[in-house]
Amino acid sequence: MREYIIRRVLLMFPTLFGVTLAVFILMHLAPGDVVMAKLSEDYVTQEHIDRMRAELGLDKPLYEQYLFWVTNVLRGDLGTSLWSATPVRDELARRIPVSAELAILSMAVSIAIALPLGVLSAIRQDTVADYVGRFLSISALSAPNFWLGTLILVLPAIWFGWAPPVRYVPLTQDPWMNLQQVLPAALALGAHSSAVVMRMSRSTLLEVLRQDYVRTAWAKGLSERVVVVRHALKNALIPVITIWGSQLSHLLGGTVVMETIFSLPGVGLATFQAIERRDFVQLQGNVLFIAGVFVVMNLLVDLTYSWLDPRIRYR
Amino acid sequence: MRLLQTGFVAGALGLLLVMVAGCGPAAQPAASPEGQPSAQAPQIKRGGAIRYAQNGDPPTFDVHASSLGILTNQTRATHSRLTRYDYGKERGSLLVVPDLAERWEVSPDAKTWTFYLRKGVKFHNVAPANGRELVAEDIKYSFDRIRGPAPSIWTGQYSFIESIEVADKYTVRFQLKQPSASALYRFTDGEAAWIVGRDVLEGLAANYGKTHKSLVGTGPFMADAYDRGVALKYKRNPDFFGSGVSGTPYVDEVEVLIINDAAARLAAFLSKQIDYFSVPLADLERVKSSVPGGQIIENKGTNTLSGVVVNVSKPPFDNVKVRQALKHGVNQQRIIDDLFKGAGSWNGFMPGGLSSWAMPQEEVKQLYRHDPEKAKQLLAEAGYSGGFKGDLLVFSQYSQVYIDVAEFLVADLKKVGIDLAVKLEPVAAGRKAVEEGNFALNNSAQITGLEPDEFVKDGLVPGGSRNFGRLNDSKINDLAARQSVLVDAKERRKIVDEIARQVAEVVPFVPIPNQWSYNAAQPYVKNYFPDNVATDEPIETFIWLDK
Repeated sequence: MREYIIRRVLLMFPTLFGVTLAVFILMHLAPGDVVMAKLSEDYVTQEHIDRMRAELGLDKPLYEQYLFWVTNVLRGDLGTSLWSATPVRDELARRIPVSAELAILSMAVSIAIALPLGVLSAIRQDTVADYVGRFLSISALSAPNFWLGTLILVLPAIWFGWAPPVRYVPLTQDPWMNLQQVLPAALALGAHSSAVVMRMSRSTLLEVLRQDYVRTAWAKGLSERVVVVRHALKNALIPVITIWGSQLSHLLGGTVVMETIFSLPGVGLATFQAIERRDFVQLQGNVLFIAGVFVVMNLLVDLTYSWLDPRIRYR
Repeated sequence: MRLLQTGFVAGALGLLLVMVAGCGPAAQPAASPEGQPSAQAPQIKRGGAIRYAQNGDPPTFDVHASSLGILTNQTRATHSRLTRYDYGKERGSLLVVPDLAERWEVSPDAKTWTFYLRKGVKFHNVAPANGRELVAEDIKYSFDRIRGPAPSIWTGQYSFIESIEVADKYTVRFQLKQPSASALYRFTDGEAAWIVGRDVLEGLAANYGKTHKSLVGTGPFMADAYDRGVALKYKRNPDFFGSGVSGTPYVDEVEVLIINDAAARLAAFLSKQIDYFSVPLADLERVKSSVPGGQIIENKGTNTLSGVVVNVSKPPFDNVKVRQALKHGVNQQRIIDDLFKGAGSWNGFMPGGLSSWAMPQEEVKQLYRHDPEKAKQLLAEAGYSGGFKGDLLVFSQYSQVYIDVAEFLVADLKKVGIDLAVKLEPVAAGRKAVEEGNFALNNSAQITGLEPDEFVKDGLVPGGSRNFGRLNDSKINDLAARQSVLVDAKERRKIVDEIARQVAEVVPFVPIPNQWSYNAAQPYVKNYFPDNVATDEPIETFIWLDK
């Protein structure tokens, strides 16, 4: 088990740097650079542009720029944003709590909606409740989250002259205001995962409910609650948890879109802006963080299997 | 009259110098709603906070290091210039009025400009300036910085200044290398000409430009707080000199929200979280119906020259008759009627939004009239009676309107025998092709500016940074040089009109109509005149809130 964890942790490094290298290359394939984004004017002299490029180290060969960045990261220095000249680390530190709140809240939304619906659909298979649940999940699955987010934002504004507050207030400062802003975003973001989770929990629960040991539990005269929750659900959750793990990638990717739509100053919005401004230092810092969370979450998901199903062993 | 501009007859250059401001003196309250309330106007209410949105954080807080609107939105609140543009309905007339300078004089040879400063103007009462008085030394320091090397991006634009001299505490003298018609515009430029204090830059040292605390000037508002990615907040400067209107600014606070998403800006306006914004056309009806009593301001002109630049070095466009055929083949009215649904105006040379320089619509309509028969005849005279084929370059990932208009141009020109194919290229690659001359026709926004020199000297003359059509017309070259040193605006206007007529004759450029744009404001926002020609004027200074 310990060896397994060590191996997985060591494997994280090539993964993460592979990701940042890919981002670096993609960024440089796209036309324009941060100096042009900052100046945006044709009349600035070439000399001025060259000087700014030199100041930012953009005049060096690409491999040198990347190596410089990697060496600094290994020393624990994520560099300085090419746009705002603030340290990437500080920027991330300010923004991570916002994204974390959004991700946790949408996870909570997706569990709170999906699990009860999934269970209900399974134990009342082919009833009205089941059909309604399945209809909702198909709808949520088909709706792109940026569209859902825009609707949640704009429709109340058109109908009632109300919209979620656009000026972000931290949770610690005014929880009620903060929730008015983050909850709609979490709903839009969590809708997709809740649909996936709902369908998954329904089908695995249906399968488990047909197993011999569940029939034995019914035969012992246990109540429906005990049979479903204690005996069936725990086993049915293993594939669901895998799905949760993979949904995390959706959530993290979705924060980019959702934070932009709802003006939440998190890592996602910073990523969107960094792409727009060709600020590859900030972008790579953000991507390193997002990929890091992703890799760690995958590891944690794998490890929870052995807790849920003691037959699973890692070598 | 506050202005004491003096008239002179220029000797050697034969320049007639009447009013330096060109368009007349400043004190014209009738033409300008910025003054004190008139008899029938409601009593101005003080206090409250203005909120509006912009789509990103400023790249820097160094007021001379970027021309992006996301920076100048801040600078215009906190800083001042020697002169400013009049605020009001006729923004396009670009009437220059005093700001930090209470008056100015120009020498007979138009090479010496003397500005007399208002006395008692104070910097913001925060460190490092601590409310000290503005003096002539600050003007010299600022303009030396603007015309100096990086971080200023304006070095090239201010090279017309030879030297700056402090005559006394409140008088500063600019010595120009040669007379410059655009000098006053440069002194007034809302992107560049902001006055800073040496003590502010030296006090903040390496931190200057990095935080909102760099925004210490003499402007109507003081930087209060900055939450990166969320908002910039300003509070009223109690010591503000008023910009010529006592009691300004009227509001206590300005908050600039950072909202990246267009739908979010719409939602923010509909839910009254922001007070005004630029309405995308698609949302115009929605805004009208959802905000009862809301103000919609129609901007009928822009300061962007839009249309097809013709590379006159590429056959068959090296033949002037072919180019004239292009001009008469295009139907501007049909584009206005069918594409813009009536919400547009004709364009000639000098964009329609610059009302003091653009030709009257009637003349434009005559010069660029749609006349397919004439176009065919011109083509026949040029030896292309059978027509010809070619490419029309349009940038993708750019404004959609140029792609839509291109389809209309193609259809119009096909009828006269010019068979064009729209060639879409990403904007970076496309611009490169245009700059290097590897194109024949390019439909795009060509030049944005406020001053004839930006259109004439940059756009039409050999060596001009935006003479993409490679025009070298001796008449235009001569007129361009003459207008550039002519400080008298009325005389200059005549030459600019002559240039515009010659442009219609030699056709290095086929204009397309401009589409009107729209701004919306909440019902309670008073004295709101959106900045449709991008003068970067501090509009928040004069706005008040009736609530």
